[in-house]
Amino acid sequence: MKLKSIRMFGNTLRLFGNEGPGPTLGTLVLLCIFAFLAIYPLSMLVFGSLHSTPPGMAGEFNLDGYAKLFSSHTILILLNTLGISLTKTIASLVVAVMLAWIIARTDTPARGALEILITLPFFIPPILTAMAWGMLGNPQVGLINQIYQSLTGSTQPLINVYSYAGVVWHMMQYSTAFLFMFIIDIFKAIDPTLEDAARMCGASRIRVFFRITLVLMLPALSNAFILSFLRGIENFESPLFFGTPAHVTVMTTEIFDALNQRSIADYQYATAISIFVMVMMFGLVLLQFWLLRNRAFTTVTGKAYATATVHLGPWRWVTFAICAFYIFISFILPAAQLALGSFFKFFGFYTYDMLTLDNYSNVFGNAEFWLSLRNTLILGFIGATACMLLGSSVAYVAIRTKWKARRLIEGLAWLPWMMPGMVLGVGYLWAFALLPKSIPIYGTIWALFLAYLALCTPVSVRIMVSAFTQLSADLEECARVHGANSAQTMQKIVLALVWPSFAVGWILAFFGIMRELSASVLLYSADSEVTSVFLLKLWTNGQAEQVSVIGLMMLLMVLGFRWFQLALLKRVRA
Amino acid sequence: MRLTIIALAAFAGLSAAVPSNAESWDDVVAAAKKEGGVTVYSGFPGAPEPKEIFKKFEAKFGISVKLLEARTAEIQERIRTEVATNHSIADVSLNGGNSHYGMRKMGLLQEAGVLPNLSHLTVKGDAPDEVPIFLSSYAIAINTRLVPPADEPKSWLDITDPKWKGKILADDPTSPGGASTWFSVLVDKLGEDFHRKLALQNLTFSKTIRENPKRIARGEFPIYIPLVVTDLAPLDGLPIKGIVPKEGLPYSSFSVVMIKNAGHPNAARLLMNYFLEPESQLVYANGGYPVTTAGVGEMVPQKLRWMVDAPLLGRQDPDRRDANLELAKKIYYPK
Repeated sequence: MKLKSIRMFGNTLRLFGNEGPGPTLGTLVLLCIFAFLAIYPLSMLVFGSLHSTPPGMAGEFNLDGYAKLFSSHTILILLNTLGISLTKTIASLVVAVMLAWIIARTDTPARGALEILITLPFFIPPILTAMAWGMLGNPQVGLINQIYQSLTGSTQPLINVYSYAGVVWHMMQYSTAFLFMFIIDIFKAIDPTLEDAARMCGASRIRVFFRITLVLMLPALSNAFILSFLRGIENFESPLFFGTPAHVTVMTTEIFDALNQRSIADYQYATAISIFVMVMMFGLVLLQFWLLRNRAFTTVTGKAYATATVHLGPWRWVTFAICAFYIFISFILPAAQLALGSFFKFFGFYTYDMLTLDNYSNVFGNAEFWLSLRNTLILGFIGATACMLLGSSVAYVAIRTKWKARRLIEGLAWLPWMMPGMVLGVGYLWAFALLPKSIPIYGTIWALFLAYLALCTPVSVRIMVSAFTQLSADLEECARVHGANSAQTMQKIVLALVWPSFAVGWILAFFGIMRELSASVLLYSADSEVTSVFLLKLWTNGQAEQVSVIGLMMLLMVLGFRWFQLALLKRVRA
Repeated sequence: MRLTIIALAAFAGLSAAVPSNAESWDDVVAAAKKEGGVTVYSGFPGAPEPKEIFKKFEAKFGISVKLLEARTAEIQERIRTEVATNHSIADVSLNGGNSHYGMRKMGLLQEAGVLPNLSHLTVKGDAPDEVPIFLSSYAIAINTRLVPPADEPKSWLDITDPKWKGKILADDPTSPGGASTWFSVLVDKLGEDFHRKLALQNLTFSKTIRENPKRIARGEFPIYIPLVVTDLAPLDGLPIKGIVPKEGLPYSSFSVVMIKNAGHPNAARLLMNYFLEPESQLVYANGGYPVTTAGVGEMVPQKLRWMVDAPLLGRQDPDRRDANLELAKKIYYPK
């Protein structure tokens, strides 16, 4: 009997790994981590979708939540959501690839500064850009429409942000910057030998770009596309601001309605929609795995190379103008509105008698602000670092090992990104509160840390998967042949080469934590308030001008971080 | 000692009632001090009034108050989860009466027992567990540059005039909150026909409630309904004005309740009672909120008096709230 048990245990272990105790232990550790961070809270939500009441309340198991999905109302909402997300992702990807190519592969002037500026819209809280665009592009008194009407004499507005297109446009500002950050380092890392070879065979520059460069970037692009598409489906602020007045409803606003706009929140329906979205997204991820299966995309090898620069001649000023125009409309216009608003008593009322520094003194003189900032910075630094270490481990296992469970681990790491944040926050609340009192997570700062770790790890995994995919295994083998041990190989070869991606991932995770609200608001305690909750309080209390001050502070932080990061990278590369 | 307190209270015009149960209020105060703290969950993120009141409370009793703020639905789910999992952190909920109605239906509340200041209430709570502390009323907002004085609506019926078609910004009455209260009260007082006519005006709905009055002031629309009257107080100097229709203003009550199995029940009772002290009520009245005890409104600055003294039309019947939400959907979002 005992022998049989040992054999069964052995078989189970073999299921996870077949390369000795190291992989088996590693697999078990990673599976345990994701079982707690992803499966446990998600299982709470599955329960919620199948039970007439949330956990802890008397009720019955039924399929009422799912039954509501099969109505023309919900199908229309689903189509709206997919349509909006797909449109904005395709449009953003095209713009992001173009901008990344200009910055990484051409001799366009001031590329260093442009690279930082292009990424900035990602870091402005969406509420603020929504407010800014509400004033720039509203059909009645929007600045752009007023200028257009005074120039043309037209009585019709040029643009209306309160529309389907307005929702797409607002979402694009984030996704373009996000995708750009994802793509640019890949452009920089591509070995130009293959492109040169194609050129020597007579292919035109355009043909090389589409047939060689883009194909080599396929894993990174598809990763970025999927991440951006998922984020689009989960976007809330844009449809709330610009979709609601135009009767454009999407999944997130429907979930918001189910949770916040009913006399008693309908968790069964909200979780059922979310599970449905998750299954759909999971299918998409599987499709990506299948499309990229057994194909090699290695571009960083042991051979020395320098990134090819395309010399554009006078055309470099055209590419400069394209970047400058993008920066102007996606960053300078809304940021100027924010900066302006922060010095006036009321947003949108820019007269001399309304000038004030009160917004700054109110924010900086508020002890709650400093407490929340301290908590956020601690959580951001520790959380982003932990996310990147965990994400890198998962990515390394997925790309560099033959562990049997590697795809399972990678898939589990994806899960939190497939669930709309609003609902996932509830999953964590239920999961942590249901733990025994001897595991004191609920009501402590640990609850926030663990939720952030789960929420930010998917992006770190994606970034590191892209980085490892492009890194040839020969480099590690070569290092080992020359006597380096595993730690030295990891430090001197792998980490040194994936460091730029790691740094980008760290920044995305850090600011992801700074902005995260859905889980924070359900998990913070009176002693562990974070900046996003502080912003919510200011916003809900109608103090948009003070929110602008904090938004500007965040922008300055990003500028500092990005400058430091790029300077460091330059030194490393030198 | 008890007599001394009663005499002092009577002297201060409070005429504090003695608790009817066996324990004296002194015992409650002593037990509250022993508990040392109380945690309040508030559905009004960022509102300055509770913080001011808690500071005074802490100074007076030496009992610390921890405040956790989030949106109503989030607060409701946190409380529900805490009660269901026996992880109670919240002692008191500060929220709208409708929200407390939902919590009551889920069995999340407990009665606080007799509080001395309950005798000063001029507004009754929906249930014995509820202590109403202030009211919120709903009016019409106009942009003074776009609506000349002659055109200012005098009655709720005036906004159904076709000249305002396409020119009205509105909070969505199909969601719980101020707009659903406004909808329900006007159904009761003016009938469904009023809303059917208003629906023909092609209202533009916006859920960013605190931003809406500023949109009116900026001139995006001439009219906004329903305006939470206190939202006008911080907009002094902008071209926006609150109109009190001749019929009066619908209103909601906001209250404090004790959470089931509260860890600090005595401190919770003391704090709930303190919300009805004149010094606490004045904090709300100074923000333009009609309060729930007598004799405070007179102390409010003159420019805010209309907010506090405006005639009230009625409040929503919580038992009919869901039915009215459905009715609002039928009228304003016809299929």
